[in-house]
Amino acid sequence: MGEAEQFDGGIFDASLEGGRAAAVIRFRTGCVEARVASGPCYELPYAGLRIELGGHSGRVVFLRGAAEGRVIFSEAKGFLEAVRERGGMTVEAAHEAVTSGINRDRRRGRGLWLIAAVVLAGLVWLIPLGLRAGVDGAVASMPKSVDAQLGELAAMEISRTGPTVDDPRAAAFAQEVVDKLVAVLPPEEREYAFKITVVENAQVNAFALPGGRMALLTGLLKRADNADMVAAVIAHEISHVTKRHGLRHMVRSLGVVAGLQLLLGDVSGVAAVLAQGATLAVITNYSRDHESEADAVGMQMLAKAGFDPAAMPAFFEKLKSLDASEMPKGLEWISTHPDHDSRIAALRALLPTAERGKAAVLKNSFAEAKAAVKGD
Amino acid sequence: MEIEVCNRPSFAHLRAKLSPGEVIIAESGSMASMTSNTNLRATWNGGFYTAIIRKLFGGESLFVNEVSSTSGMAEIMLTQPTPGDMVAIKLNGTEMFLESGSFVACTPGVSMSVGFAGFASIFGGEGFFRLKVGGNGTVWIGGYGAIVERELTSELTIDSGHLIAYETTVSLTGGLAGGLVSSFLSKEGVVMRARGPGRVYLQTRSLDGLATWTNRFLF
Repeated sequence: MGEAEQFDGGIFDASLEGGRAAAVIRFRTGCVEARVASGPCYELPYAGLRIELGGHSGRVVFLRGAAEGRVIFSEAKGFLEAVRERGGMTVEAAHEAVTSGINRDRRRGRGLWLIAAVVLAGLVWLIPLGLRAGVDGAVASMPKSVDAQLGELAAMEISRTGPTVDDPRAAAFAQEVVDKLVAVLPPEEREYAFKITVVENAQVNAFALPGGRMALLTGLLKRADNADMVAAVIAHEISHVTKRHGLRHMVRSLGVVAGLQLLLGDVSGVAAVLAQGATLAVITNYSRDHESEADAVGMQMLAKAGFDPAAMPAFFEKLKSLDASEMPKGLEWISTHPDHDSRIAALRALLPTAERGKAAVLKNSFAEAKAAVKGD
Repeated sequence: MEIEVCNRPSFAHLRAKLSPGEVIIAESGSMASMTSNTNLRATWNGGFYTAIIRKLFGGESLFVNEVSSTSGMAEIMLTQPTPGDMVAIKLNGTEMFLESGSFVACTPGVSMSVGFAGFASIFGGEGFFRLKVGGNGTVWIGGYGAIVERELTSELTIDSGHLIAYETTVSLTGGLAGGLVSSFLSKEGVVMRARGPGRVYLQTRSLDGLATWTNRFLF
């Protein structure tokens, strides 16, 4: 750094007109010099120099002499360092006092940023919770006809899954299981039009649409060991309907506006989304908490209707045992559902709480229904 | 160029006499009267982008008027919306922040920009940005009530709404006038603490105070 280095700044001095002026500041041997535009030069010796920070930005460096009055200041980058370098030992103590203040402020600043980050993280965590509560509130206030409307829009999804199995042995069996389960629902939940269709598809699966329409895939009928297992899956699906998971999920993913549109009978917007092929993903890709709720509610329903509640964990054990190569589609179903082992464990833990009703007697035979469906 | 502040302090206005070739910059809408040989030309408030930034962040007008004479001595009268004083501030290469609305006029050597006035400036109620004037020349500012100039020697506590201009060497911090309870009971609430060196300009009335006082008769 040579003598030539200079900084833009200013000076306060009683002899100046108005008491202050802009100045060009240079560091000389023994003193700091400020030259104002009108010509005169003002000096401050390094000896007894006081250094302060302040100004609008807090970064203006003020140099005060031992005598009151004259102040040289600059906000230029590198000014504080230049004071230290040129002033040497004479200004060391004063410089040290300022920089330790700066470091303290920086530490405090970092602390504030940390607090801000924690608050922000808290908000990021709270907002989804709030939205969820909002969605649940919005869905609860919608009439049941909205579910039915949404179900109608997605009904084509059932035929898209595969051809309907018309054989009365299978169809009547499935509907009888549904009717038995629905019979134990509280009256207000029985209002949905529960109707099940047996669809030819090798997947070990069943699904329900909002409003009560359900599909039972022949793969599941084939793989199930008994009627209780079929009833377990159907009870789970019925719970999705009664707990309005489809509508909740749709409002969550499409926004409350879409839900309000449905409420007002304007299905065009939602229909447009569904027509884009997002149907099943939008409606039946339930979240884990929805699946767990459907398991818990379904098991109570299953037991109350007189089926064996142990069939529900047993069914999942069965699914788990299906070999991946033998039944890749089965695993696909698993992948969208909660972790198998924890799910089975949760269901087993619920078993003691399931109050079993009078044993269900079905008019339609499970064996015959199973025989009625083709495929492996 | 001959500019004087007339009718001080209550209803101050600027009377500017301009010879051909002389120019002053005036806040848009401040013209009350002018002779027929006065030329009033609206220009962007310091260039297109600066003007927009100033409008958005500084709450200033998008345009300012460039006042000049077409022939002979032109005379223009400039006013401000509030009743109160006006003062001339001579800038010697130093810089000042002006609260929005206090700018009245300046000579062409004065540069205008918008500057970040520090986080504490939010306590002034005008946001983080202020009109920043610098360069060499004179700037006229107006306030509500009389204008008091204070050269800061020690810390000065100022009620928000009374500060209309300050030098950039002044540091402002926000805070409560007293303790939490007494700040509320004394109705002083949030204040600013100004620390020098530097000069501050205060207005003796605040529009917030007027609004509060008027509201009692409205509701």
